Amino acid sequence: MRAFLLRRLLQNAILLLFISVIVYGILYLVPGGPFDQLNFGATSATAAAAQVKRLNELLGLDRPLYERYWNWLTKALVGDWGMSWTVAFGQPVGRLIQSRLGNTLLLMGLSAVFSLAIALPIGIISAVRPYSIWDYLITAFSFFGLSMPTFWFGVMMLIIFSVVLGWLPAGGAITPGKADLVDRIRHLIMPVAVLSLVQVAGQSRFIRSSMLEVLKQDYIRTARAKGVPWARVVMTHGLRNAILPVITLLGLEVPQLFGGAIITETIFTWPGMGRLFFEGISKNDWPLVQAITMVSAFLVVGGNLLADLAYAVVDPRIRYE
Amino acid sequence: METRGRLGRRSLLGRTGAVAGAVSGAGLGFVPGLAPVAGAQASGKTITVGMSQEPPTLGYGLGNAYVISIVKWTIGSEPTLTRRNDLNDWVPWLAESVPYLENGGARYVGDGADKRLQVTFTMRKDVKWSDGKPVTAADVKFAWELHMNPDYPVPDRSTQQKLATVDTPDDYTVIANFMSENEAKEAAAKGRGGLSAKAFAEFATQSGPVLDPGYYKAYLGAVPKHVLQPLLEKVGASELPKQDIMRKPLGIGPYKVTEWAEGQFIALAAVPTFFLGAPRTPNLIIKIVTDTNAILAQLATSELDVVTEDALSEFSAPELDKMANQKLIRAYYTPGATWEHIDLNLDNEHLGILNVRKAIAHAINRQQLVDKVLNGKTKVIHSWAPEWRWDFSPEIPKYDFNPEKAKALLKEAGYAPGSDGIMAKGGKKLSIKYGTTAGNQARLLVTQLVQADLKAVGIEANLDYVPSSEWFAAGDNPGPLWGRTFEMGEYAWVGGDDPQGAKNLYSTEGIPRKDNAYVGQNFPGFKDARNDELLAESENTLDQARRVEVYAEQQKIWAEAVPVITLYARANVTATKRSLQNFRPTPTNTPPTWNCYDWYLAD
Repeated sequence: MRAFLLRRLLQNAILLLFISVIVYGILYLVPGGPFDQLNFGATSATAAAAQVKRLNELLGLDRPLYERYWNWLTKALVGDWGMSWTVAFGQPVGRLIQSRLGNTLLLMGLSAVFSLAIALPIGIISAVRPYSIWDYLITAFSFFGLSMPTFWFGVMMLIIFSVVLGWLPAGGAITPGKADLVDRIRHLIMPVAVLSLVQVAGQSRFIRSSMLEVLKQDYIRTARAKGVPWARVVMTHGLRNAILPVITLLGLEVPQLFGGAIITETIFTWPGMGRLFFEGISKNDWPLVQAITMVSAFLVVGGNLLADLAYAVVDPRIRYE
Repeated sequence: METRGRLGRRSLLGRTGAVAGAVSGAGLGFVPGLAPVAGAQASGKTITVGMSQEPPTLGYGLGNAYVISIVKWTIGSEPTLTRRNDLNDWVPWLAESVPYLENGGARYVGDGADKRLQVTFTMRKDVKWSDGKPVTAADVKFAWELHMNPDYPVPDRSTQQKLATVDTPDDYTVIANFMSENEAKEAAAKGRGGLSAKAFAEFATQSGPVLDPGYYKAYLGAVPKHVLQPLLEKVGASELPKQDIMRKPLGIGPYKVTEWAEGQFIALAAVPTFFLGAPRTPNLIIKIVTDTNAILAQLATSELDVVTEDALSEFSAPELDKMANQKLIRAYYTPGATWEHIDLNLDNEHLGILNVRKAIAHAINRQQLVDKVLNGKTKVIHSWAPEWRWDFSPEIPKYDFNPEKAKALLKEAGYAPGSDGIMAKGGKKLSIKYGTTAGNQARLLVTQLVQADLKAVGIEANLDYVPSSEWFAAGDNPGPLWGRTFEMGEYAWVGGDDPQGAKNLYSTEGIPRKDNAYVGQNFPGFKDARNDELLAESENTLDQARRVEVYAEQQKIWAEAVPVITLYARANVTATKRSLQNFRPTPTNTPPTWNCYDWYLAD
C-alpha cells in the first residue's frame, strides 16, 4: 500500500509539473497583454507605448519566458500565486480565490449531496424494477434532465419563481445587509435545483446500469436462493458492488467542487469560482487563470487518487501492492 | 427616450454664484459645486445599483475602467480640482472656479525657451475627507507626486508628466507649472523625477512651451496625504496597491464604503458632512450582476433600483421598453461617446481609389443597421466628433444610402461588372477582406447586412472574424490593425470629452509602422498635407475659437477623403425604477452616479 501510494504520488507530481509547463506556455502564446487597452484613446501614441512598456516592466512581463516561468513556479509551490492583473488589480490571487471558494463549495457541495441522495434511490428502484412504470418515469425524467440546457432551464426558473411568482430572489448569494440563514437558503434553492437536476439525471442512469449488471450475477442468485431477504440482497450484496463505478464518477466530480459551474453561476450571479475563472479569461488575467487551472489539475489528479483508495475501502478484494 | 442638444464646453465660462436653468437639453442639469442640495432629507431607504462588472480596484490613480469610475464618483476618492457634469461642461469641484486663459486662471510666464504655461487653482475651504480632516493643497501635490512615482503602477500619466512642478504657496492654492521647452528637452535627454528619458521621448523635438488643451481639467486631484504618506513610507510604492486602503479609499464624496463583499456587492453609507449637504438617501448598494437576463429579472422584481450603462445595451430595448410600458421602470437611451466605424486601408489597391471608398459609403444602408441591429435606439453618424461635442461640424459632407450612385462611382473609376456580378478593373475583382472582432453580437449582424449591401453594388466583402485580443494586438507582434494587414476593419472608438489626440488617429505621423515601433492609430493610413497641418495646429493652440475652426476644416477634409466609414454612435442605456428621482445619465463617459447625492426614491 505504501509503495503504491509513493509511486502514485511521484507520478502525479511529475504530471502536475508537466501540466504547469503547458498551462504557462499556452497563456504565454495568447496574443495581447493586460494593458493593451491603454493604446486606445491615448492622446499620444508615443506616450501610450511608453506607458505600456513601463507597466510591463513593473510586472516583470519584459523578462524571458523561462525566467518568468521559474519565478512563477517557485512562488506557486509555496502558495503565492502572484497578484491579479485585471480582475482585482493588485490583490493577491490567493485572496481572490478565497473570497469565492466558500460560495462554490457550498453550492457544489449541496448539489452533490442532494443529487446523490436522489439519484441513489431512484437509480436502485429503476434497476430493481426494470421496465416498470417507475422505471419508465425515472428514465423519462433522466432524459429530460440530461437534455435540458442549463442556460435555458436556469432562465426559465428565474422567470417563473422570481419574476412571475416572486417567491425567490433573482440571483446573488445573499441580500446585502440581511444575510441570515433563511436568506441564504432562499438564494441557494434555484441554483442548487438546476445543478442537481443535471447531476441526478446522469448519476441515476449510471447507478441503474451498474446495479442491473450486478443483480444478474451468480452471487445475487445464490444469496436469494439461501433465503436472504430481497431488500438485504439489494442493499448489501448488490449496492456494495454496484457502487464502485459510482465512486469513480464522484472522484471525477471533486474538481468541480472547486471549479464551480460557469453557466449556472453566471445566470444566478453566484459569486463563485466558475464566474471568477471566466472573468479571468475574458480579461487576460493570467496569474488568476494559472492559479485556478493548476489547483483544478491538482484536484483532478488528487480526486482520482482518492477514488482509487476508496475502492480498497469499499471492495475488500482490491489490495494495492 | 431622453436626448440632449449640442453642448458647448464653455457654457459655464464666466458664470458665478448659484446657477439655475438655461442649460440645454432635457431638464435642468444640476451643477455640482455651485448649488447646494436643496431640501436634503433622508427618505429612510436604500438604493441598489446594478453593475455588470466588479471594479478591479478603487485605489488612488489605479485602473481606468469605466466601472471603477461609477463607484469612485459615489465615494469621491481622488476628487479632482475641476470635473465634468452631465452636459460635458467643466465645472469646479475642489477648486472654486475653472481656470482658463481667458479668465486669468491660466497664463504664460517667462520668455523664450523658458516660457511656460502656469495654471492656478484656488481651492474651496469647506471640503473634508470622510474622516473629517480638511482637503488641502498638500493633498493635491502629494497626489501628483504619487502619480509620478516610478514604482507606482498608475496606468496613464501622460498629462501629469507634462508638469514640471506643482507649487502650493498656501493651504488652498495649487499652481500647476507645465514644462517649458528647455525643461521638456532636458527631460527627454536625461529623464526627470526618477523616470527614464524614454518616458519623455515625445518631448525630444519640443518647440515652444509644453501645452495641453486640457490644462483646466481633471489631471490634478487630491489623495489623503495624512493616511497615504505614512503607508508609502512603510511599504513602498510598488506594494501600495495591495493595501486595504485601495479597496476602501477615503474620499470626499457623499458616500463611503462600509463593506465590499467580493464578487457580490459594495455597501455604501452616506457621509452627512459631504460639502454639498447630506445625501438624500442614507444607503447605496452597488451590486455586481454579471448576466443581462439576471439584470432584467432583478429590475423587474425591484431588487435593483438603478442599472448602469455597462450592464445594458440597445439589445435589451424590447424587454426594457416592455417594462417601461407596464410602468415598472424608466429606460434611458442616450447616444454616447462610443462610435462604430469601418476603417478602409488606403494601401489596398481598390480602397486606395477615392471613388471606391465613396461607393462603399453610398452602398451601405446605415439607417437599416441602426433600426434592425440596435432596435432604432441610436443614430447614424457622419463624423468622428460626436454631435454633442463642441468640435462637431454640421457642415461635414454626408453620404446618403444610394446604391445607384455607388454603381455610377465605380463605373466612373473604370470598374465593370464581371460574369458573377462582381465589379472588376483590369482583370482584378473588387473583392475585399472585411474583418472585425469575433463574438460580438452587434458586429455579427452588422457585418452581414453590410456584406449584402456591398454585394448589391458589385463589391464582394469576405467576412473575417478575429478574436479581439488578436485584432487589437499592439506592440512588436501586432495584429491586423496595428500591423495594417486588414483591408476593411470594423471596430469602435470611445471618444473623450475633447478631440485632443486626434492627431494620433488621423495624421500621417500617426500611421503605425515598423520603424516607429507601431505607435499611432491612423490605421487606414490617411495622408493629407493640409490635414496634417491642421492637426498639428490643434495640439499647439489653446485658443478655443481657433480650435473650433481647425477641427471643422479637418473634419471636412477627412470626410471628403472617406478613409473611414462612420456607422453609428452606441447609446448609453440605463434604467431605473420609476420612483427614483433626479437620475441624469450622460452622453459622456461621466458615470450616471455623478449626482447620486441627489437621488431618492419617491413613495
